[in-house]
Amino acid sequence: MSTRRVFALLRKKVSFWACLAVLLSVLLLSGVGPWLTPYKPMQVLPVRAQPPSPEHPFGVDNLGYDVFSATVYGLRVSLTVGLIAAIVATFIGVTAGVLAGYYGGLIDYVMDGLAMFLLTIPSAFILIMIGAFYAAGGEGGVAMSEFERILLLGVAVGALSWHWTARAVRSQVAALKVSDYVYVSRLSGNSSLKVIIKDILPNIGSYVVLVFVIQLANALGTVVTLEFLGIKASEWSLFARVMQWLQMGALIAGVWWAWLLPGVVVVALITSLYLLVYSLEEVFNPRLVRW
Amino acid sequence: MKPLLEVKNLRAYYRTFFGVVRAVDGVSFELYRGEILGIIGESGCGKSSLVQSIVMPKPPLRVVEGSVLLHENGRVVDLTRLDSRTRRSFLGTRISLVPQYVMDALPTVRRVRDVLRDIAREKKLDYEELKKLFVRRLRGVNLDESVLERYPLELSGGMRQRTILALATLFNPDILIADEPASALDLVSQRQVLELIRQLRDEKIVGSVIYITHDIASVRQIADRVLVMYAGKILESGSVEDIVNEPLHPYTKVLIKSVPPLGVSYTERRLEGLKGAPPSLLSPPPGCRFAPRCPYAFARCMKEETPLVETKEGRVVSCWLYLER
Amino acid sequence: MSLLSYVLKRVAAYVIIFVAATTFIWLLIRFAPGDPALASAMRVMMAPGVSYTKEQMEEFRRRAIEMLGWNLPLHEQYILFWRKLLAGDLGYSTYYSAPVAPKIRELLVRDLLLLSPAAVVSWFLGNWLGAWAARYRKLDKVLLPLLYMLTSTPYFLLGLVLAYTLGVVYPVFKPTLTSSDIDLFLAAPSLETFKRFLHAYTLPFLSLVLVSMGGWASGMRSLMMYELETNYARFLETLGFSDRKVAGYALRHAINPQVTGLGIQFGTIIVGGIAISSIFNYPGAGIGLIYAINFRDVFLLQGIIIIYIAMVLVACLVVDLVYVIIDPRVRLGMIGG
Repeated sequence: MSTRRVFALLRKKVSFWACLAVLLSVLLLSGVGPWLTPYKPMQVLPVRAQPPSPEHPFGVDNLGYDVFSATVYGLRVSLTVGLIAAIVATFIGVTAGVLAGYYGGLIDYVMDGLAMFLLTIPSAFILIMIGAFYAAGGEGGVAMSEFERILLLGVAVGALSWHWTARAVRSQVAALKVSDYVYVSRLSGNSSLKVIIKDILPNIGSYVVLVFVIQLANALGTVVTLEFLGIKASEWSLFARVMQWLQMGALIAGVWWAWLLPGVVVVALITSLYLLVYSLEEVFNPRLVRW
Repeated sequence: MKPLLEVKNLRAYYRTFFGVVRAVDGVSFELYRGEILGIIGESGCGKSSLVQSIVMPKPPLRVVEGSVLLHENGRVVDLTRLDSRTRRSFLGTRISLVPQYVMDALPTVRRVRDVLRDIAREKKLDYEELKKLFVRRLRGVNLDESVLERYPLELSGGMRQRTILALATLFNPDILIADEPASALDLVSQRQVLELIRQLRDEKIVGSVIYITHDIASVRQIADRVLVMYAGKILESGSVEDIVNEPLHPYTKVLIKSVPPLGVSYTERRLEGLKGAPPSLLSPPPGCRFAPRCPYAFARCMKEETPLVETKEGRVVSCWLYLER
Repeated sequence: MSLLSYVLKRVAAYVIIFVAATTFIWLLIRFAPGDPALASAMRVMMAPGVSYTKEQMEEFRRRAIEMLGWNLPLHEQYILFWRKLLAGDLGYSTYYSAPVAPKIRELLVRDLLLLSPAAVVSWFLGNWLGAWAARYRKLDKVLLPLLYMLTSTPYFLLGLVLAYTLGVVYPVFKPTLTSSDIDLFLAAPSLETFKRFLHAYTLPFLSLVLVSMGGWASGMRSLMMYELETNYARFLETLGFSDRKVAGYALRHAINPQVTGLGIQFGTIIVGGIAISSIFNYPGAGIGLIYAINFRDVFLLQGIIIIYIAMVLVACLVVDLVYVIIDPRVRLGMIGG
């Protein structure tokens, strides 16, 4: 499907543009946000538990932090970790999938085994262990800079979630491998590597894009939940303080803006990613469309 | 003789994102009681869409014009105007379809008897009685009762096709539409299926048969009359002997000649084919649809729609060449 | 390949995964910086609140090393670990001041009470909703974003929302539980204890069910849409089957992959349960895990995670066996039919 046709189809799709709008706004928020707010995420203010107001658009939580500031800075961290995770997962997954799908045999067997392992064991378990002992950023853990922590967390999340991608890519590649033009390509003497690069990769290109977006959405969900559980890359990660608040009875005290507003932003982000993939799928596969 | 089925100027279009595809564009023909009518044409000519628009037009396919009249006991029913409930009562009982996709036409996670049980429920009949009838049909297609207990996977392609035949002919349909029933099968099974279809008609288990195919050789074997379809239109119709021995339309001529005769080696006579491809049905050319590829085409062909010329009783050709005669 | 060999193969696969995962966890702990295992073992020996001299600390350290078997060569440590594990000894918890294994058993009952019904109920509800959504596409514009929103919401966030709206603002339910809410009902079921139980149990249950349901529903919707367009669906229509009947067949085909997913989903729900437990203070192993993390209670942490892993694998095995029963393709492939 030519790119021009894709855009022609996309132009009519309201859902696609709505999602894109939400996505871009959130990205904008994380990019520009820190300049919009005079407060720093770790800056303890003299006020406590203030609902949203013109001065503090997201209010102040009961520990004295400006929630808007915490949100935009925290978004940056979470997005970075999520992006790293998605890139790592997509890279490993596509590579593994292509190799397993094309060569089959032992490589396929090994990949299948690894994928099954990752499928059954929730990554959170291992990440909790890594986070608790290796990167908790506190007592006993290895002293790492924030950048290193972000990198480590991103890579860890990504390295534990490539199985879905690998399986999906593998079946696509295996199907492509027995297609006619790959057959011809091989007959004309192209080495396997050349066939992979010239014939197979371009054809799974659009699929990989979709897969990447899904991995990103999943990674963000994982990262955010880990932050809540205490495995955070940075002190001001989005939901890192929720547990503290709960222990302090913030819920009962009714300080809802502290967790709901960042929560809405995160849910909007992840939902728009999923819906984006859905509308793109409809475009790549028009049979699904009902007129 | 009054026809059993009268298709009058049927137009059925697909509405797609890119425009309207005129898959069936002004098709008219008649089906008589007890005959096997063959419809031949190449892939994409609209034969399957024709079948669908007669049997069960579903979005994105819509019947935009024309009528399909079923004559029975003096009453006339227009199939295109049926509501879905009445249509469903016709399907499987009065009109049956044997589909092209033999391999996965039967649901994989259910046994044959489960499907039969559901047929009984849907038609509000007693299962045991229906089972007896079904077993008779099975015997008629050379299968035995054990098929009932099987999952479709356990049956070969030929067996599946024959089971489907048995299911489709349970209620002695007036019209059996076989859409390329043998194209998915090996040659031996193909022959069997063709024989069976003819047998079903001879034994009056089915009334008439519409047999859709791209394979002229098979049409010769079982059809009484033949329609030639191209790009959504009927180009020619007549008895099978006439069409095969004396094709009139240039397209039909090439089709017939494309089948190599037995006993003639290729050194004696080369196979002839057609250059080019069928036109896009999104924006079909004005005038005769075959004109771009026709070796006899002249100016009028490119501009005006071809007329229907009846050269003799029951023999119709849609071509400007025959108007002068 | 017979049924038995298939079962054995699956069991073997899961055993291998279990061993691999457990080994990985053991390695992670063994070589964690700061030797937290050692620290935990030492804390067990020391009395709280007392400050010890440097020599005494050294002595404790030496004894801890001996107790843990760290003075042995590595492979012997590994064997020792497995021997203890299989004997049911998961070490000693510093948080609960009790042996880990019996404590986990106590916590796990409450966990299963929450997680299993939530997994099953969300599966049924989600699949039903998804199948329905596939048939009534007109509602897509509203339903689909809603489903995606549900599945995009992290479990803890929905927990917070429910706890706040239905626990604090309109206090229909309890936003913070105590263990007696659950235990009293389990020990002495009566209308009274049941009401109290529901009062506490509903919100965590709902949080888990709603989020999981979103995932199942959107997946089922796609599967159903595919099945409704298959050749067999078309053929059944030409036989005169009603839409409902055809949908029934489609559902029967679509449900197969959903069954496979149920085992894996159990793992996700366990993780969700951890988050939910900490919000509502649900007294299960989930919150035990949080305590373990915060308290650096290494053996409790290790124990809970190992048990959770075992639970997931058992769930997957059960699902595999069920799948064999429901999908004739697998069965026939096995008998060679």
